[in-house]
Amino acid sequence: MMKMESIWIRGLAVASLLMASTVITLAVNATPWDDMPAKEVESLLDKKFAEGQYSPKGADSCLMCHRKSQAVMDLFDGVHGDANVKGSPMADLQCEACHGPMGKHNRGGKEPMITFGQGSPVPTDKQNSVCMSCHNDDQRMAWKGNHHDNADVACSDCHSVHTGHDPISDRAKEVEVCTACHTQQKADLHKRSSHPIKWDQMVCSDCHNPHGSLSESNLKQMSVNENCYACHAEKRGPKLWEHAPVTDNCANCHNPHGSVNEAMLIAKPPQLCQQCHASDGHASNAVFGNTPNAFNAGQSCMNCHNQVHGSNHPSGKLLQR
Amino acid sequence: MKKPITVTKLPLCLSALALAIASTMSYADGYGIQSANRDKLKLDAWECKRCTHTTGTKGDIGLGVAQNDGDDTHFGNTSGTDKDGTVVYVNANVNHKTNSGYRTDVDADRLGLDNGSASITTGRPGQYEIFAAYRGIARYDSNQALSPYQYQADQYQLPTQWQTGATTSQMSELSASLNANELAIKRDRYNLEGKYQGTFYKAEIGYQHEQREGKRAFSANLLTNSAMLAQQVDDSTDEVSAKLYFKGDNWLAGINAQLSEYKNDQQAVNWQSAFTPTFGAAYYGQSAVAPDNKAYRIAGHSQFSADGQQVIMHLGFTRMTQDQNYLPATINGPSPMLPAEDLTGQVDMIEMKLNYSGRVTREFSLRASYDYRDRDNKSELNAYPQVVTDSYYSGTATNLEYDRTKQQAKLGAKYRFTRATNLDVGYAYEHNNYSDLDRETLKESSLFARFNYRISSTWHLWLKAEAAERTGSDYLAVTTTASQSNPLMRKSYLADRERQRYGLYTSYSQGAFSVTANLHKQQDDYNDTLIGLTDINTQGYDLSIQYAVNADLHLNAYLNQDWRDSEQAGSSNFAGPNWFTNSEDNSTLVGAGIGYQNLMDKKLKLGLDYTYSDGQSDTEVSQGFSSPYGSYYSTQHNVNAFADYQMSETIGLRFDWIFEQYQDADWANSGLSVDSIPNVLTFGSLSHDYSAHYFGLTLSYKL
Repeated sequence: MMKMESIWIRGLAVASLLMASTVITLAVNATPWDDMPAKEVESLLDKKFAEGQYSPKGADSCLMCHRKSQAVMDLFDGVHGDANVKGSPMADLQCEACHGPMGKHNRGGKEPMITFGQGSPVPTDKQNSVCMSCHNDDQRMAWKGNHHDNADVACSDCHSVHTGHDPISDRAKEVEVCTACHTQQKADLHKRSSHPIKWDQMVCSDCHNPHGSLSESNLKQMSVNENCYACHAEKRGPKLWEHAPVTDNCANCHNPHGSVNEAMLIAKPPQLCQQCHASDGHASNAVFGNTPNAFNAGQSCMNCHNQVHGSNHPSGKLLQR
Repeated sequence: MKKPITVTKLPLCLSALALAIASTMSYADGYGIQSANRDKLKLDAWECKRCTHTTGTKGDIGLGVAQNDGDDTHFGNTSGTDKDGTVVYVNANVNHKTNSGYRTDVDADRLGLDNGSASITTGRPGQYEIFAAYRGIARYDSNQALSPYQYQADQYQLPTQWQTGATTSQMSELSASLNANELAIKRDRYNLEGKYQGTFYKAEIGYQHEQREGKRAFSANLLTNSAMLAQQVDDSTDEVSAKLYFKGDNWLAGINAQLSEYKNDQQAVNWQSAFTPTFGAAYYGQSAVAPDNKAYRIAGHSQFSADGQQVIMHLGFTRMTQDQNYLPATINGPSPMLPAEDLTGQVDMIEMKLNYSGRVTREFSLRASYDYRDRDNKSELNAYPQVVTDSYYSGTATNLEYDRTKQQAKLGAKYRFTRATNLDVGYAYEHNNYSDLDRETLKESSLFARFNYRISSTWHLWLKAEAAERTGSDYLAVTTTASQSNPLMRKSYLADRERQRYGLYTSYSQGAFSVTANLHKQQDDYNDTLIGLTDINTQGYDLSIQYAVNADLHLNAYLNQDWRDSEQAGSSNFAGPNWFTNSEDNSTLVGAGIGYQNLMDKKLKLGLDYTYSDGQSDTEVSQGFSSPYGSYYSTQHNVNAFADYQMSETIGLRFDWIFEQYQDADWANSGLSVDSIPNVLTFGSLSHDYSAHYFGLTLSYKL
């Protein structure tokens, strides 16, 4: 009985300690606006921003309290913290370029500052307005209204500023970040055939512009085919005998993210080919699977019609040469 | 004394709307640097004494040696090399900064392996930069493609003692002549770029050269016989690009241009027939390869924005050309006269886009766009003699243009009911005009709605539904084909289609714990198709969990599953459907990982990731009786582990281990020998079944 009690007491003590440490942690991190409704925080930030009550000493005013934070000081490793870099926030309004005018924030932390990230009370579009005010360039000109903007993705969801090296600039990290939301694509990348993205030889941004583009699916080029031609220029042609669905859209037959079929095909030949070809003759026949033959084995229809991406042979109309 | 406002009801509404808009515009639309109120700003005392500024050289460089199991080169897709044995590589992550703002970054990632990469960037960020890079990309299919052919003197030749046969089983020297070929493509890409940023403009110029080498599967066809060849791939693409952009307070405008040239070192596929000629004297065959081609493109963009509204205008022009000399119509006897020496091919593409995005009120935003694309094939049309598979003359055929004009209009709106809820809806209409296809026009309307709900600061959910309908002009089977198509056939990419798509996503994140779940379903009903693809049903779900036990220990796990079922019908008697195919694909992905850092006095970091992926496909054709196809699957277990130990302040040692167990089957070749099909000489079985390891040891030095 005593033993049981001691276990309970020890358990309670540990739990109390854990709770106490949580409370202490919260107390350390607590700010006067934690309990303030987000809408009120936003209104206050709007007011502060409009008033423009900037600090008397710029970053020195901020670092008076925040210099103990390594996360804060890591800013100076990167371009955003380097006053020598033209256009850097540190070369202008310093910390307040992004976090807004200090106002009365330094008087016991009475007023909130503009913050970034998931826990921020600042709406995503307003967080992003800070970044876009400097980064509206040819790569991000279609950000407004694009898929990520519309889905309230914050710049800080993918990027880090307080660092000398933004992790998403690493290929391995990029795929991890994108597939955290794009889970169907993550599954596709692991299928039997896919572009070599799974092991980071290629990355999502080789084909897509995550900051928005004028093309479908935020592709870097203006169409699916032009995107494919960027690496597969041999398929660009023009060839004498084009294969109409190939000229129309590579995605008519391929899923570029991956497939359970070989060659990222959306279906296997001969069935894939028979989704369009029912000419009077062999293409109309049912191809059974019981015995290997020229129609269902080897390269299937491509045993003879091997130039499915078009042929430049004068006698290649049937895409056999 | 203020004048009383007397307005009628309609102007009152308009005034209210105008007032609402105006008052909204008076709200801060964001916290952009240009909107900062600098009236009270006094920069005299902004000295930044507490700011730190690191200069000098930082980073680390590493030299690694790895032992790779290359028995089955397919493992190279994971390990990065197909070499069986020892490979050496270099890693680097170094930056050098000076007081004046000059910065140089050098990166290398497993440079020395086929998928290694390296880059150097130097300059003053924000002013000018020069970037040079190398990147390798490799794809390994198989090193067990059996073939009696050898590539010599630009020809795929058979051994001198070769005995032709009417069927593969009659080729008496076949088994003694087989060589294993590696089907793999390796790319080496080199980039050189320069950027300059002025006060109101930005200029960039870039050059890229990519070399591609390796072998791919090719089928050499003579009449009803075919032989698979390991076709040489040896080509390159060069691209030059330039950009010039100007920027003002509320506008951005610029042009960009690209010039791309593809060169194929291979001029043709010439091969010796392994078969006894069926008739005639086709002892040799010749096929075309991808012809050299060029493309250039010039495009202009402009963006105007004010008060939360933005308009983008884009105009682009692309020209693709190709003038590779033709091969003769036949190499077996005198070739008929060709109407031209080359295609003098030219395709022009014009694109135009108008894009609007704006916030009407704080809660309500609108998107609208119009997109115009035109593909105009200006290649000369001629009647070309058709010597089918280098064997017999079947008359002439004229090449086709396949022109297309696409127009698309989109309208979208998003309304925020509260800070936690919003509804996003959109409508799109696409109209296509085609030449030379079974349909002259094809149009599609689609409508979607997505409801976002942030249930709490930790719990987020969205639900999306989409419906689309595709239809078009009368379907009239083209008459330009060699044999007439069944009039009931509706080609899948031109057929009427009704599509429905649903998605449900939720994420929960509380402190160190986060979980996301996703459900999706799509139905495609080809509602006017009797012959061809009739239905596709796709559905799936996924779940992922992440948990940071503490600052040093992180755990993650995920599960994805999806299914795709499709149905199609055919007719063997050129009438109504009398055979049917059902294909059922499914795939599963399971993974778990652990990362543990700051162990052993903050010197050791460990990582372990496990992934299991499995994909299967069952195909069954029925015409009175059912005929299921054989096995089609792939199963992969991957373990990726590392231990990184900092031996001293400057020396680190990292051990990497990759293990892969992989197995696949494809009814098109599994269990087949090269002569299993009488009239097709195949590579035999290309299935994989292996367990392979990669061990890497990297010694790194911190600068």
